[in-house]
Amino acid sequence: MLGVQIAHITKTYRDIQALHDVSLSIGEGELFGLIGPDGAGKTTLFRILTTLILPDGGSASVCGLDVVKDWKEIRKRVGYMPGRFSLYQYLSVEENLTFFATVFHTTVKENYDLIRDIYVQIETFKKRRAGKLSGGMKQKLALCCALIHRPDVLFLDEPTTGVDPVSRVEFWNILDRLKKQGITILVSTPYMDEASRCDRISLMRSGKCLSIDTPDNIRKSFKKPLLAVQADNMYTLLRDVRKWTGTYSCYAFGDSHHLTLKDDTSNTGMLKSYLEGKGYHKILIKAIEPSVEDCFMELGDNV
Amino acid sequence: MYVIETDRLTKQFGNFTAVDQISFKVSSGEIFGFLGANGAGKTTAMRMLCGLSIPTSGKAIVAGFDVYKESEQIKKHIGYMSQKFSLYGDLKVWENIRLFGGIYGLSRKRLADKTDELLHTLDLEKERNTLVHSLPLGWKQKLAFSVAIIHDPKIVFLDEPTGGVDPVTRRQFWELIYEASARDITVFVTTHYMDEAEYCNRVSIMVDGRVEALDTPSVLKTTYHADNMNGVFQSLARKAIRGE
Repeated sequence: MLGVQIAHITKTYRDIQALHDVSLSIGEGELFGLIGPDGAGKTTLFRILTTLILPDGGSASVCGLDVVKDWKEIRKRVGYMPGRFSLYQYLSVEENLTFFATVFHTTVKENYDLIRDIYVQIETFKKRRAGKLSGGMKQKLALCCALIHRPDVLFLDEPTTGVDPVSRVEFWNILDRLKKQGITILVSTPYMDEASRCDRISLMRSGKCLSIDTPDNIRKSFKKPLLAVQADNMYTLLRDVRKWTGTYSCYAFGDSHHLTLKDDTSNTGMLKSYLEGKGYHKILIKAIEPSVEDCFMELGDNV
Repeated sequence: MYVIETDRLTKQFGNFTAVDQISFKVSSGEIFGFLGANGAGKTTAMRMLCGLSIPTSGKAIVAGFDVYKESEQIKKHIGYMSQKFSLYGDLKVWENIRLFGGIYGLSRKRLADKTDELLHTLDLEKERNTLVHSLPLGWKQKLAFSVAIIHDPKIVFLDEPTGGVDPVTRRQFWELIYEASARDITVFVTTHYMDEAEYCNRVSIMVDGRVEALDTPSVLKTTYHADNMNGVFQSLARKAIRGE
């Protein structure tokens, strides 16, 4: 069982429990997503797996190597892109890349095929200092630097935070291509819509892995009936739907509100007449399939 | 009554035109979404509107003041919040409120009243003496927003206010935005969450320094034959020629 194995990991910082009995098994060549907001424990988990901090309890292995005993060997085998930009600002794009290749006793030339797709997008700026790059270009350079020694496992901590929707799609396309090369990828994100790009995901919150499965299975595990509701005044609609007797929860989801029903006994006809009674017009109600974000919010209620 | 009016507003850095003749009007109490890819010119445009950067050419009136001549007045009549900078972590909750209220020139009496009111509405009364850095992120964001509008400005600029926040808190944050809008405060907001674009009264999308589209979410979706705002954004932003 190679890839990444995590068994009952805990980590506490003073009075804050950052990780609470986390267990995960990530197969070789898998693209695995840690989905959760800031403070969920994603970065702490990355730092333990990349041997930068020690867990308080539990054990973990990367490529079959123990994160505590075999830290030296692990560091040669993994690539890590931290959430905070951590390249050398005063070195140029080219110099950063050469530096990271040299540290790992290799050359840019030797592994160029792996980074070519990404590097061509920033090559025009190869003489520019890394600190002077825009956010999206810094992110691409950081990925190149994390890949230049051809790692077996790639750890990407929130690579798409603050990145616009078009660039986010491009970044995930890059990850798909890296996965095809056989690299195991563990990636974290606060964007729930990116979950569907992963083979499997873990929804994380407050230091716990709440649910681990394929995105499809997680969606299927949503137990209550879910409706999308629209009307002429969306803001008051949210408050009024929340007051309705059949409502378990109701949240804004883009152009409609997602209403989770308490059970099957409440039906759309009853909701419609309730809303008509409140004076709403252009009422649209339809049953929908839950998204990963619906599932995440449902889990949140139970913590 | 318009709270922002721009006419061919432009900013050049050397040969590079970061913002290229943008013209639009934002009404009082409107929730105005200001979208664009990284590098499209949003930040430069916002800096001009906040009185932090003098335009190269064109006109802009914000809260009734001219961005060229009255930038100090603009700063007094707007609020600003970003995910990156908002509150001082090493100060207590009440100290942050006191500091920002003082900077915005609130009287001692008004500041005391506002502090109580704000702690009550945010349900933070118990955390009055807590250092801000130890608050959960979601609470920090809500406090930061409330502090940004403590002086009842005509307009508040929100620069990616909800990045990294959990889905439930993100939605609670938008409820605060709606409340501000109901109090006639104009909300000018940038975001990378396309579902949030749907909550705006109108949305503008910048591409290569220009405002390429500006309308209500429903009209934009019809115009660009898209099911949602993500579709609209993808079809517009993909046209971008210049890199970041």
